[in-house]
Amino acid sequence: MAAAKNIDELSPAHKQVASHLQGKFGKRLLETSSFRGDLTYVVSPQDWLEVLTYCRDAEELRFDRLDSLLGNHFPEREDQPFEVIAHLVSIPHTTRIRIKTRLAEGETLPTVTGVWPSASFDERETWEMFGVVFEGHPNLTRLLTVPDFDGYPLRKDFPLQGRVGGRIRWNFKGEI
Amino acid sequence: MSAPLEEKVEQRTRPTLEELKERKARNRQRVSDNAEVMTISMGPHHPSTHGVFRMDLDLDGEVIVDVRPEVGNLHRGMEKLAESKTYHQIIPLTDRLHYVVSFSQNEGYCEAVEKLMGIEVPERAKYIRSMCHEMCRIANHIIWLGFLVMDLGAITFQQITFREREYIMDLWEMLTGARLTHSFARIGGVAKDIPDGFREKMAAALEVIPKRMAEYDRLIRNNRIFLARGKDVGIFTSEDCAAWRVTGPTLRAAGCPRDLRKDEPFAAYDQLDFNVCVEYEADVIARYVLRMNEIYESIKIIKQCLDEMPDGPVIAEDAFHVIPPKKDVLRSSAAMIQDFVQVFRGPQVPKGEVYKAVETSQGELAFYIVSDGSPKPQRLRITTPCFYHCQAMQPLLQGEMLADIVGIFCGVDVCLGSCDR
Amino acid sequence: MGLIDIIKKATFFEILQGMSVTGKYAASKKFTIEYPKEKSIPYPRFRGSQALLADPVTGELNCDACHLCETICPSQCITIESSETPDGKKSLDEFTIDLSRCVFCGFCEEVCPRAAIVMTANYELASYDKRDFILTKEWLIANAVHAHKELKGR
Ligand code: SF4
Ligand code: SF4
Repeated sequence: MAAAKNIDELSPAHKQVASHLQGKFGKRLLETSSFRGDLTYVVSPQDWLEVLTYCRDAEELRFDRLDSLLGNHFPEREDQPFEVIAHLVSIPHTTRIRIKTRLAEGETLPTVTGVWPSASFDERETWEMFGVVFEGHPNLTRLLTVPDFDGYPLRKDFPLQGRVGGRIRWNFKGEI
Repeated sequence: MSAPLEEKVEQRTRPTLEELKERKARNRQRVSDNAEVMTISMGPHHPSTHGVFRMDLDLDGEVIVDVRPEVGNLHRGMEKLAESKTYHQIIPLTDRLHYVVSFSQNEGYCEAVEKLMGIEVPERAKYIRSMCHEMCRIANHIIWLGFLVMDLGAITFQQITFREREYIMDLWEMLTGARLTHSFARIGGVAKDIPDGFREKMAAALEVIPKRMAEYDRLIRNNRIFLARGKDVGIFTSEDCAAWRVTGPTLRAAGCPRDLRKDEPFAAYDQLDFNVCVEYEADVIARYVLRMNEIYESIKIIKQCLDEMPDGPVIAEDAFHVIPPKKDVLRSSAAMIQDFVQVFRGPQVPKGEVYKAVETSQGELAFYIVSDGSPKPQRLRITTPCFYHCQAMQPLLQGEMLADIVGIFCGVDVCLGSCDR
Repeated sequence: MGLIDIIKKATFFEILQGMSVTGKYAASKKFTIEYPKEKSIPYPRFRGSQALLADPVTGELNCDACHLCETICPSQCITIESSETPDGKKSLDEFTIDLSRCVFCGFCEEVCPRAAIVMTANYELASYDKRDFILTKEWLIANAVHAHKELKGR
């Protein structure tokens, strides 16, 4: 067995990304961490759009693709239970980065569909599953569940049993 | 291995990004400003949607003005379900994402969990994983071709491609015990070693498949209808691909040599010698040629895997995260205790979050796992390529003709089970 | 357009090409099997319906009701009821598998510490009655005749 290599170590390209982002945003990156070679930054909801746009446009970063955008719910965090997480990929530099923001119940986030159109489905899914509203999204409607579904299924307090959410519908007149 | 397609590929032109954009714009011009729009709904039971997918089409005559894709008919709440299962129990769930390439989904999930837990996978298991990935790719691309040609009008073609897939299916049955939902990858390796007689059967299959592929090629490549319905149809440039997160063969057919097998090697791909196939015309024909070339590369990789596979265990010896192999459980008490602990308590997982992407035959499949230290994930997000491929129908189809929908939709390769999760 | 192209167009060359393949396969050996008459023989790893194995000598069930298979089962389709005999051993009272939930993942076989439950070669499980999908202990013991020969002595 070879000497155990540090699996949490960042690759040189990722180190460059980290130092560049630190230099640019400094204090506005609320938290920085790396785990298993993944870089994670937490920004405030006000900086969300700016940081993501910068990541795409800066020549040194060139995160040209939004790999996924998703939500998460931590009921144990009283004041900011929701998280929205974006994973960015740079095809030319083959680097990845994760940018998060924390939201309180009812807080809204600007949409990134203007930066990456592919965020559209992702934001719709996050909205329907967690109830995070994306301001300026062109069509924020239910995507995977039925249009009149009740509640936000991926929240941790959504019941796992019983007749919750939608009802069984018979009358589809004028809907299709 | 000689690739008969290769010399013909050289004759194809290599348009630049500008030229492609121009061609795309020419298609878009069909949409006039004062179009008289009629909205019709296509699907969810339309046979060419390969599942249950619905599109609201705004049509001006035969030209598509706008598309609103609607997904979710196959939504099974997999991510919610995963939160109430231990890491081991999620493996059969991931099979059901895409039932043609189950192993790739298993493997992607296990890669993510291994990254989270910091498990080193034995070399032999890595080679078996690479081999299985390529088997998935061959099977998927072969039936993809069948469906494409069927959607373009030649129905019997789909049946003859199923015959070739049968060789791979037999191998799956021999190796894993199931034909569709393999559940073969395990956290820390794979479930079983390759059985006796597998190499010979594989060698025989790899003999037959290229011959049949050459036959397909002879049938389709010069077919007037196929060329007319595929050439310059559904152009999607590499810039569009990045904006709409379209990955896999569609991206490579647009001239971008992005392949996670090379860029972020997983399994044993860093030790294998293969080429990333690239095409430049970004239309349906380019996707066809690309996929066929990928099958030849896959055959090359499988042969290498079988030749270079080292001996050794197929699952990691790791008492905290791995269910021990069956024969150890029956013979040693330590393994039996490990078995009991793994089943009743589950693996011991550090706190943290990981994101791992692998290249499946559709595109880049990624798993995002958040762990809070318990044996069940706090959140599992499955980022499937097909989700974004369905979304990309809107820019792909705008300005195309109604009759080309089926070809374009099949061309990017969408599986709705994987899209809706 | 050259002369050859014109000839190709006029004679529908592609169709002739396609028909030649059809003709070739019409004469060749058939690839499929006619199912109810001929049966396909599964490979030794095939995961069909489960069986409970018994000791060939004493005839006692291998299972000692450890509940491992019940716990690992991802679709929670195994139900085990056990009681303790006076001499301190566990005895198996009920062992039911709800086949309509089973996903044939083979985990139950894999974790069993006694090689008591195995996946068999029995794939003919269709039925007109949903009640047939509740496999009882007796059914599972009887199903052992389908168990893969290669695995029995493991
Ligand atoms: S095969 Fe899988 S689903 Fe079926 S009983 Fe066994 S563990 Fe449960
Ligand atoms: S794991 Fe094996 S021994 Fe334990 S209860 Fe199940 S069948 Fe019986």
